Amino acid sequence: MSILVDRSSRILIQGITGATGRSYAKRMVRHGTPLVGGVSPGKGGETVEGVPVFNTMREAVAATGADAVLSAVPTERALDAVFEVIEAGIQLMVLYSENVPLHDAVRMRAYALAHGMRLLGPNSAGVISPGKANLADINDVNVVAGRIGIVSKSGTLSYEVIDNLQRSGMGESSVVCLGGDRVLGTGYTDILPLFESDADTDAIVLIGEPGGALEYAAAEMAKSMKKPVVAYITAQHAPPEKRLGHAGAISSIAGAPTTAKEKLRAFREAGCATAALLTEIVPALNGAMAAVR
Amino acid sequence: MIRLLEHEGKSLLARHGMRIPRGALYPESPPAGGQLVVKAQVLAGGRGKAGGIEFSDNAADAEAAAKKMLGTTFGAVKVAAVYVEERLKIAAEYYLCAMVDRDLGVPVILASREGGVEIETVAADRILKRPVDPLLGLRPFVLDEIVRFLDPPEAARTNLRAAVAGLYAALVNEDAELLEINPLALLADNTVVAADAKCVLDEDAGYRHVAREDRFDGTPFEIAARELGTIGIELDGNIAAIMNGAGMTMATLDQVVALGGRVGALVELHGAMAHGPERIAEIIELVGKQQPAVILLNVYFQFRPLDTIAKGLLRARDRGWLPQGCKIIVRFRGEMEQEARTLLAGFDCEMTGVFEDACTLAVKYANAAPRSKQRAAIGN
Repeated sequence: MSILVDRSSRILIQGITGATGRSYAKRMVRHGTPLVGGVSPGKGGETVEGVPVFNTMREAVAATGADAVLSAVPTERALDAVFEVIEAGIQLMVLYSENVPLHDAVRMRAYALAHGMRLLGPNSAGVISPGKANLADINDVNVVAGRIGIVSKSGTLSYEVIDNLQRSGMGESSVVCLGGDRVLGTGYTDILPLFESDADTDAIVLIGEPGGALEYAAAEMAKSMKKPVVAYITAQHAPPEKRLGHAGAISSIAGAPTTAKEKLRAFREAGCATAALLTEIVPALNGAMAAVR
Repeated sequence: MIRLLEHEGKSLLARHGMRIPRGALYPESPPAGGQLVVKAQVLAGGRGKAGGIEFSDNAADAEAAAKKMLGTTFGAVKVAAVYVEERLKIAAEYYLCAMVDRDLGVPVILASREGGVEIETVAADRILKRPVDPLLGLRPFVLDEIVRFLDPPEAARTNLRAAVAGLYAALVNEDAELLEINPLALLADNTVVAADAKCVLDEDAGYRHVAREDRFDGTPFEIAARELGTIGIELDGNIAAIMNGAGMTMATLDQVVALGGRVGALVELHGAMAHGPERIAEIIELVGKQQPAVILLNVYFQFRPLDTIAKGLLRARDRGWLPQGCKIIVRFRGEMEQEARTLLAGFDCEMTGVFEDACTLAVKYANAAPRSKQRAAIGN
């Protein structure tokens, strides 16, 4: 199983003839991700890495039966790119673009919700089900298949957790990156139920950040889940009101407390194993899984 | 996040049809005739209580007050400008705010009849929070709902409605994160005027507003870091830490602090990698000016080549940009790791492939450094 993407996915790259698009295509074909084509306006009829290029998303979907899109378009075109993908009837889209204007994120989220498309991002490092399909900014050689699910706002912290799990002999069923921006297409509570009902997932590592309330909703949901959720919230020592690279990761000193410490407390109170440091995740996970057995 | 001064915010609102008091930036001439208000233009809150607002009966008094106010400080913030405007004859004060609610993922309008006081002190049931569907915009039925809640005198309804519509138009068309009017003043003649304005704009939308100048909040170090395409934060420790990715940056800070170390400069490479080794060298030069005891490079690239970082380090050394007696810790993991390690074979540094080992080494060397290197040289 695994979640969101697997061997039966039919994947398109939006912007496949650009440098980023081509490098993703090459990697997908080399590692066996089911790439069925790409879209680049004006480049219809060409091929990249042996897959066909189409002028429009609608043509590409009609010709290939695609259901998932990895988008590699410049930030200024991101909003229109998302609209085009939704309009063509795609089920899942990864939007890697960062620094997307806030109001564009608001509009793309609203249109995706209205049409039932799952949008990961903006500023998402994507999703990978190791050994099956990779729509992520993660190199296939750095990840092995296993039975842990990861859901994270951060791409780079996902790499570190994957490394830590691998050194302890564990791998992942799927790794899902939600993105680091303030307004996101998909939140933790959209992903947790998928891991809960996935036969290939035994436990979930949730990676959170200061700012916003998505983690609180996740802690509430974790209370009624059967599988253990291990929560790691980064930036325990972040100065408030500073942008540490992710637009979303600002814990306001005014209003409701959204600091890393408060969020970790919410998960503790929900009965989850927690980690304040990267190095505490594997011990917390081992403890939580032993308690289930 | 771009915060505007009051007078900047007001002219932004005026562009979208909101009424604002007549005013001028000192020493330009204030509006002729009548009483005036003299207002310090600072971003700090609590301006009124701190003496940043003065009432004057005539232009001469106002000028004297403005002259006195200019150059004073509120906390750490210097008053760089003073705004003088007409004194309003206020009949009622409302609270009105349009902002993007990040958790709902949509714009919301906040409105209350209890304006002119800090909104945090107003009871929740006295504040209307109305989400707006961004695909529909602020439709007439939503406007009606907001105006009905505010319940103005009949003769002021149209003007209040126009003010709410203008505020929402400004939020969307100016790519604002937050526009807060407190108070929104109802005058004796039933006009509705923005008596104050707090505006926060989205810096990511800057490319759509070409006239808008970039404005980075922060210390000189943080501004210099931004100009190099990175995100830098200045703290008061003796470790300069350079990472790729926001998550890695936050996690490295956590790990170093947990181990008893202190970070002086925190740099996330962000878009800098696209500019090659020269830019990496410039970043090292920048953090080197703090005279840190340790420079920690904690980098894990899935696709970008690590040798760019190695070449940048060598270039910084050749230019003499590495501070005297500074220990370099390099954690390389990922793409072109072997090539990058080979490049640094003759370079004086400690090398590891593991996140926590790099942080442990950094703290060990930083805490063993001589007294002169125990704090960052902030402000250089």
